[in-house]
Amino acid sequence: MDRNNIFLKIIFVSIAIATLTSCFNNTNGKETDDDIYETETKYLNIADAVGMYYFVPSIDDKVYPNYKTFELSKGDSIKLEIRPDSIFIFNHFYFDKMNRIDNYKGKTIDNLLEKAKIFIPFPINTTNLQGFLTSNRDTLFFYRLNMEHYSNYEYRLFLKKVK
Amino acid sequence: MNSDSLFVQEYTDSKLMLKYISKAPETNNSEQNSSKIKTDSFWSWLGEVFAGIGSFFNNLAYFMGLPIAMNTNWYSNACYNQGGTGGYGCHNNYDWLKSALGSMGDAFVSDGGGGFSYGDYSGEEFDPYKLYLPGPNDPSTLYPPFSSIIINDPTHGPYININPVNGSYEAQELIAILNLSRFDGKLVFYLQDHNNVSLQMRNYLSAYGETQENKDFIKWSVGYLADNSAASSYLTDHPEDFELFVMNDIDLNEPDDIAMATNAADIITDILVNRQNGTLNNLDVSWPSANDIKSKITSAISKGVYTTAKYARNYLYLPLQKVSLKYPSTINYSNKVIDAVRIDAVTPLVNFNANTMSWGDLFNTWLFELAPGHFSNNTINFTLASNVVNGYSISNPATNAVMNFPKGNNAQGGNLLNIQYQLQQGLGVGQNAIQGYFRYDVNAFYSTLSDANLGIQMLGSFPINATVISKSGNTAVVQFQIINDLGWESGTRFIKGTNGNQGIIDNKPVGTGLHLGGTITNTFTWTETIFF
Repeated sequence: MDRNNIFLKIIFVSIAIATLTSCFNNTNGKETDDDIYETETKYLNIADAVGMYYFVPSIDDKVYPNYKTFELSKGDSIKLEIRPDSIFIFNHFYFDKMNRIDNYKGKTIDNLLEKAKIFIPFPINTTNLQGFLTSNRDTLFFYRLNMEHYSNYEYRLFLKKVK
Repeated sequence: MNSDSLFVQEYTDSKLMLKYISKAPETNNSEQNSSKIKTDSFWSWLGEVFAGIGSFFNNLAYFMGLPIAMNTNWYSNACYNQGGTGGYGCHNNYDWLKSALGSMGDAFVSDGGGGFSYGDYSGEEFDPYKLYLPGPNDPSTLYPPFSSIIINDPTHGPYININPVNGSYEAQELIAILNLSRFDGKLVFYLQDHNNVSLQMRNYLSAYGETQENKDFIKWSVGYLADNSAASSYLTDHPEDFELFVMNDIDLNEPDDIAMATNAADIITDILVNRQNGTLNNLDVSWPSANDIKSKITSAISKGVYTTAKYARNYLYLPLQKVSLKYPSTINYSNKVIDAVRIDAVTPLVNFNANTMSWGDLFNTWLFELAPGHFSNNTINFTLASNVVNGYSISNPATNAVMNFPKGNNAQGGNLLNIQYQLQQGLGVGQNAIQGYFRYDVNAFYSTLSDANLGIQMLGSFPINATVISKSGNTAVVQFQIINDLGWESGTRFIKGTNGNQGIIDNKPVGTGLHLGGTITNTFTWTETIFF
């Protein structure tokens, strides 16, 4: 088989096309993933919400707060578990002006706006603005905090569902 | 010597002429032996030389440090020294000067003599760097554009100092970038004489761009330094501190802005000079520039919150913050200025009654940190009895009354409260509704840039809570509450720039750092009857 063999050429061109297609697909996938932060707030029923959620840190503290902001020790993170029996557990729960409760747990309640969907109750008289953002690939839970650089609850704390 | 005459004899020396016109000293040598050559062909040749030099420097040459276009006609017509024959009526030279100086050329011959004359130069050595003017009249009357740079020599008459050294490369660059003209002679001389400050200014333009705004600021600052010997002297020793004098967003078309910036620069100078001399205590005794700024802030307040915010931020907070950060020992003196403004100028103008105060009163209470002593915990509680909530006696109540604010929005990251729907869905007495969130994003910013939306600009983004007080049939009484922090993030929203909102300053607690803009908390609570 010499280097001018037409069969080899076909194989080479096919591999090149497949590689390029794969690259474009990856790019599109990434854009979709980034766009999740631009999507509208959704509420989920318990079946869709069940899972383990982990804090989504930022690369740059100035853009979004990072582990340091929450004084998390190395290897620690903010975790939320939503179980099929409606029990939710935050290992570290931050609310309002960065108040913190460790091991905050309870049962989800019905969402008044969409009764078939769940709502995580926050301590009484606190700001409990929350919701989910979804894409084809990911699910995020978020709620709002009033903190340095993000007064008046401008900061959305994101927790990403990993399983 | 006849002081009524203009002594320009040295201009006929091509060597000096080259000095005046070119910025390449090394070219002088090539002209060393040509000063006494009188032939037209020489001048024609020299004109070509100059034209070549001018072309080399992008068709720019410098006369008195001013960029001028090369024009070979000037040189082919240039006067030459006829040498001791009494024939000093060198009109070609006059034409050359007139070309170079434009209308100023007329002033040179306004000695009533009917034309240009050399006078009776008789061999006395004059400083070749002094351009003598016709006298003996008051030079400032004869030459108003140059009044500030004319030096009156009682022996030889008034003159302008012509420094053949055009200053550093950066100074010359600045002169060209700022497009300084002959009427800016004072600025030109300052740059030529202060190479180290010129370097800082040139670096500033390199770092932040040669925008018209930045160039205008540099031009203003050169003028300020040329007029202010204390500041100039300080920066000559500490050129790196030029950054402390940088004030962004000065509207140089507004005399009030210029006056405010000048006043602020005076205060900075006072602080820096006294810090350097170890005499800051002197400012406890007398500080005129600190007194001056009080009346300016009072005037700003009368113009509304936009002007007040702009002045306080641009000319007080930001510049003094820079000084305080670089020289922490000076912060007490920065606060001394600010406290004088707060207590003497602003406090008497503010209504501290939460029921009757306007948005402007609330704004000034925040900006000038007046909450302590009037409101506990730096928190102001507004109810339905408050004008800013119910809209009574405030401008544009339909949009400026809190109870008429949108109860959340559907902007990205916002959330509409939709209380009717929640009541329909069974929201009961004593229950809290799902909160709304008004997201003050770019769209909200541009749609609220008017006096009709002072309140919503002051709040910015805010969550809004709703609790059902009573419910009967399809009617409910609902209590709404907004808890909102008012800090620099909110305050800077009031400064309208060409590109929209100005830079955000980090929030800070009341009483810390500079005593301006510490965060206060406002709660707005009211009830409405809702039909659902």
